[in-house]
Amino acid sequence: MRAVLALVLSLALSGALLAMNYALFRERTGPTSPSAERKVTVTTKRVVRNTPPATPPAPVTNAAPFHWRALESADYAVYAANLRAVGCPELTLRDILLPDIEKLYDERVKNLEDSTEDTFWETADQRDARQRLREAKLRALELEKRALVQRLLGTEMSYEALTELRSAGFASALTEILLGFTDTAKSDQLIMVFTLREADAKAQLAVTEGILLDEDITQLHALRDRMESDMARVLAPHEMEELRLRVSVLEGMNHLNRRSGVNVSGAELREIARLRADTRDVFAKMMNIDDEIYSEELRAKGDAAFQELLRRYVGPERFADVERGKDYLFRNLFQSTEKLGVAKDALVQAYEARRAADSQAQQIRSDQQLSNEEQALLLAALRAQTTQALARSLGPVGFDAYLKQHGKQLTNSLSMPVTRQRLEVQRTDVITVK
Amino acid sequence: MNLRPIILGTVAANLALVSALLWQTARAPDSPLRAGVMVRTNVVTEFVDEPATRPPEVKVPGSPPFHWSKVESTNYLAYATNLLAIGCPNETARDILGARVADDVRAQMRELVKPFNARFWEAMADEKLEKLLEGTPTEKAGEELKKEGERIQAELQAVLGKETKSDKPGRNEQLGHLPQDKQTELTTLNGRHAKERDTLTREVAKAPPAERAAKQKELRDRQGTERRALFTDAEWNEAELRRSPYAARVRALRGFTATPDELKSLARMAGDFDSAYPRPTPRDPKRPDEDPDHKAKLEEREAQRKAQSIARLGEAGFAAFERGSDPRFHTLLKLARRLDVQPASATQWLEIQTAAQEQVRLTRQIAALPDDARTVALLAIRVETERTLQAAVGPRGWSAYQRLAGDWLKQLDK
Repeated sequence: MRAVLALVLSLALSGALLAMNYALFRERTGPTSPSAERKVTVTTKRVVRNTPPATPPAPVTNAAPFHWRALESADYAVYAANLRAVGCPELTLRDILLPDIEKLYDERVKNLEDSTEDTFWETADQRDARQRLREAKLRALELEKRALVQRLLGTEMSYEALTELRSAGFASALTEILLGFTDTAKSDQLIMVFTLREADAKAQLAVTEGILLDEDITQLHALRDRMESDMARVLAPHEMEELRLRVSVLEGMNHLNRRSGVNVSGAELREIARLRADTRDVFAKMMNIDDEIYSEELRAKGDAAFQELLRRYVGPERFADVERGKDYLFRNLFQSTEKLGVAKDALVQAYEARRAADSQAQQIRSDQQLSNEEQALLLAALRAQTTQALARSLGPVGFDAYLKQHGKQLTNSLSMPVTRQRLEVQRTDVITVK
Repeated sequence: MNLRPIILGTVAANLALVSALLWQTARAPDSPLRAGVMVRTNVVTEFVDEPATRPPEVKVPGSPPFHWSKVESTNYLAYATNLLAIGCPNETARDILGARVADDVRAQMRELVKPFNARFWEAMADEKLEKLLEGTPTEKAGEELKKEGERIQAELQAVLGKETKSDKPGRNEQLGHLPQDKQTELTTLNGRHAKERDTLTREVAKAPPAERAAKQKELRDRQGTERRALFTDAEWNEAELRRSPYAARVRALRGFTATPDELKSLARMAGDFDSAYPRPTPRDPKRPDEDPDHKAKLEEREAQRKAQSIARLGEAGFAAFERGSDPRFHTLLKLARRLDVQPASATQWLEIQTAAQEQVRLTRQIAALPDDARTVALLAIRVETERTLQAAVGPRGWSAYQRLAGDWLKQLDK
């Protein structure tokens, strides 16, 4: 009986196990059905903070009357945040922070130099070593200052450039004319970029002590490229081109105008500026590093190419005018007689006489075989001869006008140098006393 | 009926079924997706009020809270007064208002020159930039604008005070041997003397030249006496030595190691030598080279100087002193420093140069050498020297050497 019971129980267990095995097997291999989906519920707690909008921070009002002290802080970031919080405009904020930071760093620079040590009896090497150390410290301070300004104002800025821009008067007016092709904000940025990059180049050159290795030239090139790309970010492409041409016309082309006897139109001058800009690195020139980054040979090639392009563009006759316009002797003649109707041929003739006289005077003065008295005599004869030639060419009215403006210069250039004349007088005095 | 084997069979079967069950269970959590189980995520958002982590607190005193618009004004004086009223330091107010006035003037200036902007190139074709505004109504208006700006700044200065600059006098190296208080005293004295000279210049501007010269000499003498009285004898002697060209020469040395006392002593030695052996004067100062007697005296003097220097410094020290005064060596030393090589390298480069130049000089002097042969010989010297130098200077510095110190190489075979 007990055996039967055990068998029944065992069979029942077998049945149950079979059923469970089957159910599991179906669950793993059977077709997916909606009823087979496992539902997982994920509960996420979203933290909701009772915070005010990020900017501006809500002012906490105190009953005490407002005092500036509440804004000031030894930490510039807090000072700036406080000023912004009370609605101080960004430009005013800049005008408060920049001079303040400048004064702070000026003081630190002064402290660098506050040494009472007697360093007179040092060799040039020792002085240079001290100077290098000082330059390195100054540069570190400058970079630290720039980083602080950038952090506070969100952009690179130069107090020096800002001061320069704000300098009232003639230079400021000329800058406005030069950069008048763009708006004030952009021209300000241009000056900022230029001032900063030029300072970088100067610092780089100071480190080299005049010994430029190839790697230094690469770095200077990089600075030049950075300035150009910084400016290109500020200006539209056509403005960038205008900047290139306007800067180009300022460099060594002062004689290319009607006031120097060269008859060019504005459009022609612009085209000439383009020729110049295409034969010279205008941006390197702006930064005063073209001598450093380009070999003399390369620069000479650029100059020669420009001369040739210019000659072709203006033609041989006007090219001769351009060449004459470079010489102040011609400009003096032209400008003093330009409203008196002196013919161009006569003017050119007078110029040739004047130039030849200068050259002869030079020869006389440097002739070691001649005594001072002999030199003085020859120069006097040359003066007389030149005066006659000029009077003949320019006519009485023209010559008179020329003499009024440049007579003294004519006499001086065809006489003994004043210092030698003085020496001569002193020597004579000594002889007389003896 | 013996049920025992059947029971044992079912037990065995049960054990097998249990094993199968365990095996299947163990595999089940392995990959629910493979098992065809879709997981759906039901996100339940629960809003919980928590105290916020606040941004840096900006306290704005005042009730109602202060706003910048309360002080800002288009009227400069009102703006300045408002700033001062809230305790803004004068210096800061000066910065704000100074910038505002300058910006306003600048904006007006920009308006003034607008006509020139429009015809920039035509204007430039007429006149160079610096002269563009000369004599034009714009220049006049610009001047007036500038004056107006200055007038406003002056008005503001009356309210905000003048900027005080604590300009410390710059250090005067030549007076570094004096105590600080004496240096200050001397600076003050120099300032007073300069004013006195200016005053006298104005006073005697129209006086006869002789009278003018006499008065100026009188002042110079008096000032010299006053100045001398500030120094002790030792201080005065030291100041005189520092002003001398001998001091300038030893201070210009490079690659020469010496203590301050040694340098000072070298400067004294040079001064003493010049006093003992004055430089001879040629018969005709204009043609000193044509005076053999003068040349001989110069050579003799130079030999004496050399002998005295060697006695003092030794052969090696004298060589270092001479080299240290040589501008060619200065450049080479700087190059060596930039290349992070020892100063001895610069000495070696200079020796190569000196040897090559001497070789070239001797080759040029051989009268019996035909021109073609001389040209070949000079070219060979140049090629060999360049090769040796290039190896000595190294590739990193070679192009800099050529640019800055290598012009002489081009002259070797000329």
